[in-house]
Amino acid sequence: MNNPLLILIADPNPFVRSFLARELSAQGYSTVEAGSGKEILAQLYLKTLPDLLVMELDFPVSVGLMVLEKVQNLVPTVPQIIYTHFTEYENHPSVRKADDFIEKNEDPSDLLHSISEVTRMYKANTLRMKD
Amino acid sequence: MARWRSPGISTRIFINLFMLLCATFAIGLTSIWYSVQFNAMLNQVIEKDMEALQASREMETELASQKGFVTYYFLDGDPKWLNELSVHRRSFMKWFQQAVEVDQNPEHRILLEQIHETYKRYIADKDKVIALYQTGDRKAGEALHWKVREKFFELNDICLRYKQANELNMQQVRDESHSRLQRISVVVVIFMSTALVLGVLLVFFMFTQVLIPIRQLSQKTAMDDEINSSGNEVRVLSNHVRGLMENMDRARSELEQSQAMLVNSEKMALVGKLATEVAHSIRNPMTSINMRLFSLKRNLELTDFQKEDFEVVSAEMRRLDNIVSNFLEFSKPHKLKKQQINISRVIDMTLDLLCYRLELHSVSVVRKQSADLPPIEADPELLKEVFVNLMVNACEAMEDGGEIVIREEAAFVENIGWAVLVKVSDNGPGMSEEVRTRVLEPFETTKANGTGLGLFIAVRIVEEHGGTLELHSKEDEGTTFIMTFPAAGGQ
Repeated sequence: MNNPLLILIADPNPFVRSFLARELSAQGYSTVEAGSGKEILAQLYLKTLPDLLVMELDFPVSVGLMVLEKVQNLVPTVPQIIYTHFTEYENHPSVRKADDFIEKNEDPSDLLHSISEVTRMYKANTLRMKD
Repeated sequence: MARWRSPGISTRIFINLFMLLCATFAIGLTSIWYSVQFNAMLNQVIEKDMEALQASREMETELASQKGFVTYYFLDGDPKWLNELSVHRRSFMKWFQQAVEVDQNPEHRILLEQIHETYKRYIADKDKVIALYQTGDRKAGEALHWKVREKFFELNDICLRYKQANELNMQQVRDESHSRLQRISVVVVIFMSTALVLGVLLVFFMFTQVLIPIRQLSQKTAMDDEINSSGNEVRVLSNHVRGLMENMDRARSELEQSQAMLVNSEKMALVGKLATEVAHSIRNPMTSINMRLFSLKRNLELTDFQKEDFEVVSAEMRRLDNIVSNFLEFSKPHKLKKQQINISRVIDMTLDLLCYRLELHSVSVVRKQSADLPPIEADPELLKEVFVNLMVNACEAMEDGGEIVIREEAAFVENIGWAVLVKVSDNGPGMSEEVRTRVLEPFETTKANGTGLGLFIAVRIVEEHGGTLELHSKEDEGTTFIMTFPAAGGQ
């Protein structure tokens, strides 16, 4: 992969972020991290636009759902995977708009599988649009 | 008008009644006063004036009776005429004395004085005539006799005047008494009309201000036949007012109860919210730990001891995760997923769940099922929670083991109708009066590590199913929980 996918890992817990970054890097992805709603938006506005967003909803300051809605309005082309404890939000309208919903547990394999699925679909779509 | 309206209805009626009483009293007092006066006046007339009148009449008669005897004596010389004359003279003097005694009228006394003087002279002259006749001097006697006649007429005239004066006096007394009577009549009539007007006013007030409003009120509050049957609006009304007061008392105590409940549930809600936040905050770092353990396990080469340690840490982490997840699952606002179930099946499932724990506490379970138990509309998961709560409580109460009896039966219950009753009894130590009253309240616990929520949640769940949970317990006699659920379809 000459041009690795850039994944934004958004989670309030730095240790979770670093773990996920390590796991994703091991799979050949490059990662950036955001620990708050503000950092997510800063990354999207000011820094390199990621190819994919992995997001926990449980943010202490800005409510996760609000941030998610903002992200969806701002960069609708960036695929979003919700990776959270908050299973009760699975059927929330904004959450349903996201590309996938994964319940967070210790084993990241579900997440990795979902990332490859979502990127594959996006690639296929982009190719179709180019055709 | 406004000033007249200002006094209260009772004041107005009281004033009216007071005036009515005053008028009646006035009538009575006036009548008594006048009759006493009238009586006194009549007594006076009877005792004095009547005697005087009679005396004056008798005097005139007696005087007239004295006439002629001397002439008869002159004609035949019989002394019996003189005797008769002296009888009438004594009689005249008697009546004269009586008139002097009773008649105090000054004008009458002057007349009486005149009568006395004239009579004395008349008698003296007449005696002279008699003496002349007796001596035989008929000529001189006859001449004096004519003079005496004139004196007689003079005397007779005075007596007549005295009699007329007495009669006039009587007439005056009669006139006076008549006018007094008329005055009494006028006063009595005035007071009686006043009393009549006041009485009519009182009746008017009673009707417009009391009776009609009471009737209207009682008609508003009561059925028609109720009034007709008792015929007493006031009784009907007072019954209704008493009913209202009882309702109000009941409503107030219910309000107080529900206020206490509200305070409790607000406290519950707040604590629940805080606990949920805490659980969420705990879960995040726990996931982080689990992730790292997962990573470690993947990469580490461990000795057997290290592997055992690692497994214990992982197992305990999973346990913690379970606890938090269960709590969060419970704290989620749930909807009742009601379905028709047989409660025996729910109890079976609960006992399956708890078999290990029952064994641990050396508790045996006795089922007393009844055939044909109607189904109920309920959420089996929530009911399981209730039974788990009750059974765990019972196990913990019976420290040295014991027996739990679960009795199921159908019965007709007031306010619910056909119902399914489940009685869970243990033969543990029971509860004291004080504990029993508190144990169904939230955050009340007798256990060192209890949350004080188990029974409260159980009550809440049963009530959400339209049922009731009662607690019967006595110290040293065990505890019985009685749950009542309405039968499905009201069968």
